Amino acid sequence: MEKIDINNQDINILPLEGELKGALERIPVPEGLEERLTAKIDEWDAASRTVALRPKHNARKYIAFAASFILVCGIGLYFALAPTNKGTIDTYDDPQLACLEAQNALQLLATNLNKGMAQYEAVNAKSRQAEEILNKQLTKLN
Amino acid sequence: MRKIFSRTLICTLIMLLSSLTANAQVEEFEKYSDMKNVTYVYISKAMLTLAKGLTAPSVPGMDMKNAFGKLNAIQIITTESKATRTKLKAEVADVVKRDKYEMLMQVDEDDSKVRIYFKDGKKQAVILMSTDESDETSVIVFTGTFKIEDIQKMTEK
Repeated sequence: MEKIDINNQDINILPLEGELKGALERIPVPEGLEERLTAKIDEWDAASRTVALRPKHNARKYIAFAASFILVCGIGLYFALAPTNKGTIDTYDDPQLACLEAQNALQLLATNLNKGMAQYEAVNAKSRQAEEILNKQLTKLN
Repeated sequence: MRKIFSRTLICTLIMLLSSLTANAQVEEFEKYSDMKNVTYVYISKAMLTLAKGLTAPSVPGMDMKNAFGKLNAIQIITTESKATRTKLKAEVADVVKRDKYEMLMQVDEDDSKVRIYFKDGKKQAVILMSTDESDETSVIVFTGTFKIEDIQKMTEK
């Protein structure tokens, strides 16, 4: 019985569909609707693309940040952990020995500076003597 | 986010660069530490700070505690080898010329020639003393924060 009903309905729908189609065809289509719709669709498409790109852009930022951080840390660690040049390692472990060596070096410097000053003073004294003799002779001549 | 990133990067770079420039000694003489027939002595700022407490308060002509406090490092290079002596002397001449050291003193005696140079750099000052004797050449490099007046005080007995 149900099957028969469905078949009857199918039979009745067909002319209705035809009427609807005809009615729709009779409605006037506004001018430029197609262009406007296309433009709108393009606009939505572009907006969806921007939205899709945004997370990618952020991801690039994070990657750049992480990469530069790793690079800087890597360089820092390289220099920090690299075997130190022997020339920068303390020769003495005992501060007492280091103290004696430093004291000797400073005393040697002071001794040499004083030697130089003594030579300079000796030359200066000779020069003053010569100047005095010259002045005396000049006074005699005058 | 960008601000945090750039601040972090700048801070890290500053820390890195400061660690690289923290070298206290004259680098040209570092290589002598590995050479044969060379006695190389290096005393760092840390060791000098420890030694400061042990030194005699003053040695005639010098206030040792004050001098120790102003030093960042001491390098002493001594050699008896003829070839190394020539090399060391040439190295000193190069460093003095290139870094524009000023000659403070030249003491020539029968058996020794002493040259004392000084450079007042932006970060630290350097006194370089080279002694050339008949059988030995030695170079002592003092780096620190001293001024020419401090050296002048050394000559006041």
